[in-house]
Amino acid sequence: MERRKTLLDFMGHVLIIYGFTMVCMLCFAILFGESAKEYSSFLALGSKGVTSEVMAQLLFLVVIIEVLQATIGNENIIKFIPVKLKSICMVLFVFITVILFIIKFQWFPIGMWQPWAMFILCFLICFGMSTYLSIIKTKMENQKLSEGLERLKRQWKEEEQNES
Amino acid sequence: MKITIKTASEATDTEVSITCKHLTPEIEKMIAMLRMLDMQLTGIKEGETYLLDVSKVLYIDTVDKKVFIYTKDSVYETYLHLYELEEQLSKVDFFRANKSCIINFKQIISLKAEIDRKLRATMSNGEQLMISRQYADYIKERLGVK
Repeated sequence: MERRKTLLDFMGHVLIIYGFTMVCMLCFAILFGESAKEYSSFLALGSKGVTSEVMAQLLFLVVIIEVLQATIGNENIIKFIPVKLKSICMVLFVFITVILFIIKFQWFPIGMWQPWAMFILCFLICFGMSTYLSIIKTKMENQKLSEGLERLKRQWKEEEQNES
Repeated sequence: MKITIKTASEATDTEVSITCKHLTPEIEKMIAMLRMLDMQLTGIKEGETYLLDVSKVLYIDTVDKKVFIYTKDSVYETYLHLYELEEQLSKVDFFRANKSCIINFKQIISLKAEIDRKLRATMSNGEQLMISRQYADYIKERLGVK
């Protein structure tokens, strides 16, 4: 049986996502920090990294996303909703949450179209990549399941032959 | 209820005999449990009782608190609870697939992983059953995937 998720599992996931987000943020800061520091509170330190304020905001965002994930993905909380609909809801909720954070903490000037275009592009790339990776992972798992089942059936056949 | 146990060294097989005024659901259940020890299931269809070979059973399902046994071409009702069946049948490769169903592993012809970590099992009669995430790990471990 699957082990029940604990608070430690939740915190573990949060820290993994947060760590990955911070690495991405540092890459962004190194690549675009200097040119964006004038108008983005997100990259106010330029190529030197991100402020502790932004770090705290990102941690808060990651916690919210993890709570959404734990709620939408939990079969005991939300039942009878098709997987595809759950996935669409999850993407929409994450998208809306990030937009709210952008507006609330003014990560970039909301009147400029260029940062919005970049944000949507980044979001689509991340979404596309994660979808592609989960499809690949499912295909690999299917392959392994099929091989495992074949192996087990051969084993049963051999056992039956040995018995008779 | 009077229980008499006789031990006889010359006996070649264990014999259980029940003497009663008439068959009650409790007695039927007791018989079904005894049969299960012999790897046979008692199924009821259209008022008639059938003896089913465990290996021919595809899966056992609960619908509206009633337990049904599914074979390739028939459905039978049983007096036993799902957990009682699970307890005995786990010795012969039956496993819990979700809250209301136990599946005969040997009757699965293919398994497919779903994107939400559930598994879809195709049975030998072509029927497809879902194995919930909670129980999918057992299958993965059994198949050496995990």
